[in-house]
Amino acid sequence: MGDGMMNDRPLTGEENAMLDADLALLSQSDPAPEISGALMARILGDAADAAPRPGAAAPSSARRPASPKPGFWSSLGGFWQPVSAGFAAAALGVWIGWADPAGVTAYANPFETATFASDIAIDDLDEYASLLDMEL
Amino acid sequence: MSFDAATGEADDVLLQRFADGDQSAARALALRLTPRVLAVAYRMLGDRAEAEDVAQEAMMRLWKIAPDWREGEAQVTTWLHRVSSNLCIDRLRRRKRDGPPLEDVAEPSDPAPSPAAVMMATDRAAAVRQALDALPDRQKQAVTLRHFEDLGNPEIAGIMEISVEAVESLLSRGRRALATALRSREDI
Repeated sequence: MGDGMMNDRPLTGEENAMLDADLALLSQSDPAPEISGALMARILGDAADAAPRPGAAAPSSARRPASPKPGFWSSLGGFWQPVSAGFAAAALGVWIGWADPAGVTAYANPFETATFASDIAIDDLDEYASLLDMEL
Repeated sequence: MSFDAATGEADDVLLQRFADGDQSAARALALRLTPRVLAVAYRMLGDRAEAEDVAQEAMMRLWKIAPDWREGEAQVTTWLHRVSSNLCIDRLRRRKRDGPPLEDVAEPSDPAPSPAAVMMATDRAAAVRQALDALPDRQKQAVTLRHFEDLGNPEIAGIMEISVEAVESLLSRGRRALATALRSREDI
């Protein structure tokens, strides 16, 4: 395609008409092939292979839900997981000790009462034991 | 071989039906779309066997994308033309990289004995085919879609993922190159 002059200017009406005629000639003298039975069989075979299998989840054209974002713990690296867990536990202990939260107090009360009662009972047992020693 | 592709349903509806497991929808889609894909591939590659391979590959990709197809986002034909054109360009580039094919320009499919006028027309068609093959890939794609598929520039722009102005430029340069090649042949 060495005609640089022609490449730089638009085609004239006559040249356009000739080119259209040439392209039409190509279409007529060498038409695009029709689908052969073999090609159709190949394409439908592919379709059968690609079709959803029985029992598989029904495909849907709806947008698939986005995968959930990774949680806080999983977003931390291997080293930082136990370190962060330690910091969290320490912070919780400080908060419980400083704020004396109602929930913790309510939970601890029965144990505290039981511990106090058992202390008294053990003291009483000691006294009974000393009485027994005296009688013996 | 002719097939009855007549069905009133839109392409994306048929694709949805196929995704839902309806094989008759696949047949209807194949009958409707494959001839167009095959025609474009044949014009771009000039080889029937290769064009059939491209048509099969493009349709295979359509089957695979069917479950994820989102209605109204794109036209199935535009998507399919894009895929098949790109497959053709890949093959053309591979040809250039690997060297010219063993056989020269493909002969017309109907080489029946004919009078001199028909011989001249056949020669001329072969020359057009040769000039078309010599075009740069993108120009060839634009010319094929415009002149052999009768698509409008906006649709070609959608297929080639470029602006309408870029399509016009490709067409203009492609036509000029074709005219130049054919004229230089006349001058010999």
